[in-house]
Amino acid sequence: MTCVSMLKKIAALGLLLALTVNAGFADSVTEYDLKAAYLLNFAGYVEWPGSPKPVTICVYGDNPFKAATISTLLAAKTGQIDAAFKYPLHSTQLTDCNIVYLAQSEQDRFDKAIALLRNAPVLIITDIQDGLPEGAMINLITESNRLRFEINISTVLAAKLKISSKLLKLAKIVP
Amino acid sequence: MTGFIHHPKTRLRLALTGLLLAASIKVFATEVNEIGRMDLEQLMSVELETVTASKYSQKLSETASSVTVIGKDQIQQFGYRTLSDVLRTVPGFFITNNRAYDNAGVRGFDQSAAYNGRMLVMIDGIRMNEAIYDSGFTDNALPIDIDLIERVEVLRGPGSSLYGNNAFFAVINLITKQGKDYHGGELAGAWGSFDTYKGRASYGRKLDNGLDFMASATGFNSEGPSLRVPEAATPDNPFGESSGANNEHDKQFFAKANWGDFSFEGGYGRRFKGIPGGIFGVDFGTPASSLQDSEAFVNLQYQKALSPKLDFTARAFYGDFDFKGQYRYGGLLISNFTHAWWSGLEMRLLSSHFDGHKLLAGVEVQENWQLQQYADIAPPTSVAQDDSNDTHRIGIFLQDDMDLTERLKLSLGARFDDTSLSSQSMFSPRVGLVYQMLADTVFKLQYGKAFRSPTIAQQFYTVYGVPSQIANNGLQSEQIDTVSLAWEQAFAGNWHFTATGYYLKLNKRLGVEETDGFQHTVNLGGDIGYGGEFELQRRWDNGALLRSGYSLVFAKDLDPVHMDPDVLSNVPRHLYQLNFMTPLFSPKWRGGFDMQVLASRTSLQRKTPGYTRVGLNLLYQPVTNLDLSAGVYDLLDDNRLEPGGGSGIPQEGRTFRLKFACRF
Repeated sequence: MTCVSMLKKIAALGLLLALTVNAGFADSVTEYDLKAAYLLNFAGYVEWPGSPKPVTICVYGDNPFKAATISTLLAAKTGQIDAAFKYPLHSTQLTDCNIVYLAQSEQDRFDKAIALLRNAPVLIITDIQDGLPEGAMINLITESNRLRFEINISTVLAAKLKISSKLLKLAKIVP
Repeated sequence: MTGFIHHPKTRLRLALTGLLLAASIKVFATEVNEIGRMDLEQLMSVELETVTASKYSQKLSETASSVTVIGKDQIQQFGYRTLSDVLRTVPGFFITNNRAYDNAGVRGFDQSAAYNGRMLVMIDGIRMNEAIYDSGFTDNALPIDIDLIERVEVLRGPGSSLYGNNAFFAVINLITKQGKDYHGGELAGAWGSFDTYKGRASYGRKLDNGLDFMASATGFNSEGPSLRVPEAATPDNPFGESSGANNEHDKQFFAKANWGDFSFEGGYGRRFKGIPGGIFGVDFGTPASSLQDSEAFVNLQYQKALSPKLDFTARAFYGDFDFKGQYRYGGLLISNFTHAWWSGLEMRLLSSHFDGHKLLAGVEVQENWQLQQYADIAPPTSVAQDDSNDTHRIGIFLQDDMDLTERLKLSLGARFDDTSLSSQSMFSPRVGLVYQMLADTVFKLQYGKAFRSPTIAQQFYTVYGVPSQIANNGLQSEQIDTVSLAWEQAFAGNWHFTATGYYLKLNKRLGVEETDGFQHTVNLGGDIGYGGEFELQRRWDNGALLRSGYSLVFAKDLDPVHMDPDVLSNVPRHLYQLNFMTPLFSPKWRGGFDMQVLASRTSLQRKTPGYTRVGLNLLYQPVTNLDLSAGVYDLLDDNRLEPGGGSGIPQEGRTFRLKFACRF
């Protein structure tokens, strides 16, 4: 049991010196850590009318992301992507967002949120394994053990958003 | 009860061919840092392990007006040891301890005499209030270790329209962690004041075939503090210093498994507590009095979406409760043994067939078998009470959540309960109106009726001894009507403010009356209560959290002839709570600060001074699979006396705890 031996080490070194202890192995990042990284990266491939700074990324519904992950990711992208995460409580607040991630807890209520955002310059992202819901623009899916994404270009264009061709190259295009 | 969510959760393996170093620094922040530095193309090469859909989680918040949710991050960072520790930080709640149990006060009503029977305590939606006294334990007698809890949902207000009996002032649901949260084993140990030791071993996993399981065992031993019991003072012992007899020995086991549409969970807990005596007429010192509560539960559940718009849930449950009390009064030993077991079935249908409607219908049946109550008095042994009863209860419930307009939602619900213990059937309706006035402003209006049945102990327990207690089998359920108005406001981005005003009227309160030295439970007159609860919350991106609450409480006995000192007295007019946790120095260090300020309480006998109770906890995670923490409870040593008995009940005051948890 590595952690027991670690405890001993730490007792020996004193708590403050323990910073140097090598774990040997650790928890991997979770699926949602990775999804959070995707959300943040999308901000760099899309142009909004008026070029908002920072780009507001809203998580709507039960927040599946760890706060520590979000702050670490934001710090890592400092200087490259200027974005902020928000967690609105009510669907009417979503129009102030540039990117909206609709959490799976909202699956039954997608239609309503999407109707509210119709044609607004908001990038709507979901992660529904069974396919891109109507009105959503990007859907995160798992394929052969990798995280991929689908894009519905017509809804993106209707929302007056410009998407970089590089993003389209990486995506699965849904007609 | 409504809203089942599917969370396909996975673990990731970083298959970073050539991208990253072969890896020595595996600290959490660094790993997320690594994916933080990748571009989209690199992210797409990160390999995932298997993806399988797993179970739902129950959403209490959708049926409620006033809910506080406390997650595992708070349980860990504030160093909460029991459900009591969690509840003391929730607006409207306070905890008292009478050296036997922790009791929760809600909205001004102390529950010491009711064994927390005026609130419903559930684990994953499974009723924990047992069938003899209806106690909803919040101390270690609750058969689960708080470390296994994902989050605690606390609903203030009536819940009988869905849950029936005991959902009177509040409903508390503890959602447990799943196997996949463990990725293997976890060992935890703690050492605290008064020779207190606690150990836990847990193991949980999710297998590739979709089976998610976990099992855990906990042991707890404490010598307990020696106390100064003013009531027990004698010339030889001027401070009434107790010599131990305040010990506690607990065990908790828990297991759960999830596979496809089926889930199983079960648990067992046993708590032995020594009673130092000197209070309530119990003999002081050795030989000591003691009590022991054991409770077990098993739940088997099947849940399936019959169609995209129809969810079906069926569950079968079993429970067992055993109590052994040995009390010494004036040299006599009174042994009280009770035992009950129960089984039952619940079925629910959740439909979204009609546009703008979410319909929930269900039926719950519980049979209580052989509710045994035995008591004898020695020496010489004479059996004072020995009986056994079977009882049952049946509840049918219906709820419709409607979208009247985009901004206005109406929720109508009702439950009809029939219990063999009482001739009367109970009808518990609830009406809720949610109005979203502005994007950041929501108003909620709610009316609800709730009830608490008389317990089998109140109806059938008679002991002629010291003190004498006689049964009263003509009791009726007590009922409560509650109206509340809540205002929820978000502002300045991440701040959330909630103000709730309530008015409640209690009818036929079950209280204790004493005539000619005999205590018996009777239906008293009415009481009213009103007040306000205010909560302010903010969460920061780095994981910091501020949660603060203030409650103003008024409660009045409308029938003061039958003054029951345990309920309507000892109402703290003001209750203030502050909780703040934050990362310190680096993400490896986290600190938690919590404070409860309770105003003084007055009863017929005495006035108990107010207190300021401060807790501090420091959490250090040198590596991802090791947590070390150190906590101080009641730092100011101010919570020294709780109301009860002639001169109050001494508390333990300042204590500390050191804890570690490691995962492998």
